Amino acid sequence: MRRVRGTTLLSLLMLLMLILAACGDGGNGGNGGNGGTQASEDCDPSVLEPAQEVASAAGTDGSYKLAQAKPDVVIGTFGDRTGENSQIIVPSHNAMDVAIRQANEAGDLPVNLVFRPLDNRNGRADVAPSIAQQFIGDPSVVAVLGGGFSGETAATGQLFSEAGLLFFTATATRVDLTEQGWETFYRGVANDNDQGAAIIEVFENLGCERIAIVDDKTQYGEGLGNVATAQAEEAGIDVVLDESIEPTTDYTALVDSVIAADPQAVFYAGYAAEFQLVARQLREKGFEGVIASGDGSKEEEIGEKIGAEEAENVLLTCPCPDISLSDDEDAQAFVEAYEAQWNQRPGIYAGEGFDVANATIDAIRKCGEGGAAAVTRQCVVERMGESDYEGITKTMEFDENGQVRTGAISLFIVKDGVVREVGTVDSL
Amino acid sequence: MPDCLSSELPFRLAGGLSTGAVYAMIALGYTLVYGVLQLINFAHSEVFMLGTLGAFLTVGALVPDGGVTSQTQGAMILLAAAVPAVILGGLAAVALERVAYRPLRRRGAPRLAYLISAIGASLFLSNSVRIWRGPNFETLPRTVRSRIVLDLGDTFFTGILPESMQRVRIQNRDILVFVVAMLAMVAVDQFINRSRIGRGIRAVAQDAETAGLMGVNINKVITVTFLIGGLLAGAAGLLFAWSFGVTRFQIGFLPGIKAFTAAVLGGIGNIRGALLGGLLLGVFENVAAGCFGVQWRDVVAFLILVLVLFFRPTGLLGDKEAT
Repeated sequence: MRRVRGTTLLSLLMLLMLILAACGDGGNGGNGGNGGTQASEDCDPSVLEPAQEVASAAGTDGSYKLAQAKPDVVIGTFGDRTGENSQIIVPSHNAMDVAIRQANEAGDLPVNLVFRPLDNRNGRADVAPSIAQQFIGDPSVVAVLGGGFSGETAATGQLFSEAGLLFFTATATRVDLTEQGWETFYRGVANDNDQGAAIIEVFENLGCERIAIVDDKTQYGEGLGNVATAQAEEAGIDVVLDESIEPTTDYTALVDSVIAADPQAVFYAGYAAEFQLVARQLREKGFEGVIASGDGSKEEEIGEKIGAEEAENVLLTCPCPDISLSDDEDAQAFVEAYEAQWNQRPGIYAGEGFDVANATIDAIRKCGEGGAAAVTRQCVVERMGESDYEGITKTMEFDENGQVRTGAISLFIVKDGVVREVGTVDSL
Repeated sequence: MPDCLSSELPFRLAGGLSTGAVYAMIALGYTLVYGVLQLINFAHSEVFMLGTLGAFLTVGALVPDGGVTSQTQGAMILLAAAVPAVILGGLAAVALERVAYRPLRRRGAPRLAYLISAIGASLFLSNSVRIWRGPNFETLPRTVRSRIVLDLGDTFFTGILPESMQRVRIQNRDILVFVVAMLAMVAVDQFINRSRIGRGIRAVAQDAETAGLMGVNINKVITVTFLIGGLLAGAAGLLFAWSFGVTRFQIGFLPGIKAFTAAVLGGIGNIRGALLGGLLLGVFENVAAGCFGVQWRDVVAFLILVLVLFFRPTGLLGDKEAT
């Protein structure tokens, strides 16, 4: 036995030596073959000649500038693209895509714009920072257009601010987002102060004296609910029920609380999926008062989802007038372009998304006057602060906190299952 | 006395009983399985979810393109959808037993292994449905409209009933859910107490080894136990999906947790306890929502559970009358 083991060991040793020998021969042979190229032996990269230099040498009259590809510059965005409230976000992303495509086709920018929308399903605040880091870590990204929902925006604003990267939302409406001291944050839409005041104004106009306010405990819902409560007290409207709820399916307890409080109107500050369940269960239990919600619940399919009868006369406010109804020529051109590209009419916040993208492109264009290399994160943020871009929904001029100065709140009503615009709340 | 315990109490009780009836139907499944195997079948909530999905698929297939034209047609469709939804629940529960628990039983695995297997099966089922159907709510087409069928606020009752009672509004769904839950409980109770297999179930619950020695087919008894629980969860799923008009992969989570709580509250392993626990939990929640606000509903419900277990660790009716 010992003898056999010894023979095996000897054989293995010989095999190892043979292998080493073979390797050694191969290496020597290789070096010998390249003997004339001293540089490769020293691992010196200077032997590599840049292709661009060759091209420059070939043409000195500038003709190569046309042939050369423009450098890519990325405009990112993120939000709920596939979750249950994605209908609030997707149209604005689609509109940004339209704007960026148009800018590239116009060809007057020194850079080629690349649109990079990332999905943050259900707008999760805990996932958003890692998405933000993806943008921050990529030097070709010069602007990020939202933060779709307020929660994910709140979770990332500081990161973008520290990275000096423009963070420009078209849809996140929580009031204090512009009060955090983030230096690169801009908002191209009216905030929930305006929206909360508007819904209370609507209730006042309708003669509602007793209302219930329900929020969904999200950053957005809680903020909007608090504003509405404060505004109602200021307006002398009696808030007979002020509730916060956890998202669920069976809202019997809430519905019973509403019935018990007997308000003339219920305002739900939250998102569409839960609002629809609440509205349906309220109607089924015989609640005949006004049911209203904000932009988070504005979904075209509400009639299909909860039934036209239950959805009848549901009121929705939004800092997003229906762009399809605008007389403005540019707005009509946008609607046509959107429908041609996406085969559907522009939904909620499409106009705002288009304006936010175009204001950003305008800033990039101004930076680009100094050449492609001048299109930097810092330059884009600086130019955005000076913006006076006239969009299809409003002029993109900002206050010192980055909040757009103008922006009316529109009122919508559901009739025969269809969401239709009544007009701006100011004009009622 | 606060309004929630005086003027609001009658209609809060009505709403709570409706919610609690669904908990009770699901709780029966938990309690039956626990009675026989001393196992918390945490995947039972997914059986309920599959019941809602079965209802969604069958109702979707049966409702004509233009929607139903009458309540009667809607009722027929709902009844027709009930069969596959309930059967789907039963089959899912039996399959669960075969795949997730029986192999462990054969190998004499420790209790912890069952628990891990239950949680794994639950995650597998819900995520499979998520991949198949997507993550969002799916809306059931209308069949029978949920309406108020008894409004005690009608002028007819003025002067007859106290004012607080006149705020009670009973919907057709409240009645249906409550009646089905009561019937299910009575049927299961009778089945366990009177049938041959029921006797086998009781025997296995008391002492599985001896029951086996006495000729009871333990595997068959366990399969039937899971089947009954699954059928009830399927029925609860159908009623839930019809009541609220939606389904999705996560829909079973909260009702499942509540039903488990209800089973423990009533005395786990005790069929009547499951019903009592379900109804009480529904009522506690609804009254608590009135007294402390809707967001305190779950806190109060679980606080009451803790208190009950503190003084009666085996639940309200105790676990001695196992199945």
